[in-house]
Amino acid sequence: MRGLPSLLMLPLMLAACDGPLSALSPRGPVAAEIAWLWWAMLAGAAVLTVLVLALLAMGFGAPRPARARVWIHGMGLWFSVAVLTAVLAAGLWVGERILPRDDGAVTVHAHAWQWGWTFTHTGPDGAEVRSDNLLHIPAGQPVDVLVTAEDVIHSFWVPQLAGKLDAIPGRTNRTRIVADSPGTYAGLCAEFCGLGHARMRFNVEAHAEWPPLLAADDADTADPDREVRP
Amino acid sequence: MRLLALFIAGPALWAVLFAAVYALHGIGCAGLTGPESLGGLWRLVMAGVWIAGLGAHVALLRALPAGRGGADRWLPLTGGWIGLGASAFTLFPVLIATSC
Ligand SMILES: [Cu+2]
Repeated sequence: MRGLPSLLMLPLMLAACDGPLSALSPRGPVAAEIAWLWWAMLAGAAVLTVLVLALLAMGFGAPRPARARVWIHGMGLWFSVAVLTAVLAAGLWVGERILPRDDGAVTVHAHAWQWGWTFTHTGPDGAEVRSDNLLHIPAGQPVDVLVTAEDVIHSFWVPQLAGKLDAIPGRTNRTRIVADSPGTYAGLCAEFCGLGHARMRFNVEAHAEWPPLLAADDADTADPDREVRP
Repeated sequence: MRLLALFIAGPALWAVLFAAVYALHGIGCAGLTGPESLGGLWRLVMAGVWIAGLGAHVALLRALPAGRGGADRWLPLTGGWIGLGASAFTLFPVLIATSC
C-alpha cells in the first residue's frame, strides 16, 4: 500500500515534464542534448541518494558489523567518485557539442531590457528587421543568437530549443539554438531582473522559408532609439 | 592546532591552485580570445600551472612530518591525498574543454 500514493503522483509528475516551457520536451538537437544530460544527472543523483539512504537505514536497529573496506573505501569513496566522474564526463561531452561553431550559421540579435525583448534579424532585402518579444529564426538549421542587455542582467532562455544564456550589459554573448521544425516556441527571461521579470516572456517563430516575408505588423523597422514597451 | 594546520594543508593548496587557474582562465577570456589565444599558448599556461600545482601536492605529501605515528601521521596524509585528488579531478578540464 505504501507505493500507492507515489504511484498516484506519477502521472502528475510526468505531466509536469511536458509543455511549452519544459526543457524535458526538446524540439531540437541542442535541447535534446541538454535533456539527456538532465536525465543522466538525475540518475546519478538517484543512485547516490539510494546509497546514503541505505547507510542511514543501516544505522537503525541493533549494531551490526560493517566492513570499512566495502562501505567506506568501496561505496563511499570509489563508487561515489565513479558516479561523479561519469556525470562530469557527460557534462563536458554535452557542453562541447552544443557550442556555437564557425560554420556560417544564421545570426540574430536579442536585446533585453526592463522588461521585454527586442529582436533583430536580416530581412529579405538585406535590411535589419526588428520585432518586440517575437524572435524569427529559420527552422531545421543552427541559429546563433547574440545576446545583449540594456540595463541589468537578464537571461535568454527557450527551454525547448537550447539552454540559458545571460544577457549582460556591456557584453555580447553568443548562444546556439536549433528548432527541428517550423512552429512557435515559448521563451522567457531566466534571471530575476526587477518587478516586471515574470512578464518578460517572448515567442520564437521558426520559419520554413528564410528570411521570412513578414506582414507589416509583425515587423518593425522604426527608429531604433524610440522607447519600446509591450 | 598544528595537527589541524597539517590536515588542511592539502585542501588549502587545492583552493589556491583552483583560484589561480580560474583567474588565468578569466584573464584569457576577457583580455585575450580564450585558451586558444597566442596560438594555443594560453591553454599551455593554464595546464602548466595546474601540473606545477600537482607537483606541489606531491612535494607536500612527501614533506609531511611523521609525528608520533597514529593520527599524527594519517590525518595530515589523508588531507594531503584529498587535496591532490581534488586538484587532479576539478582542474583536468583545462586540458580538454573549450571555454569563453
Ligand atoms: Cu529580465
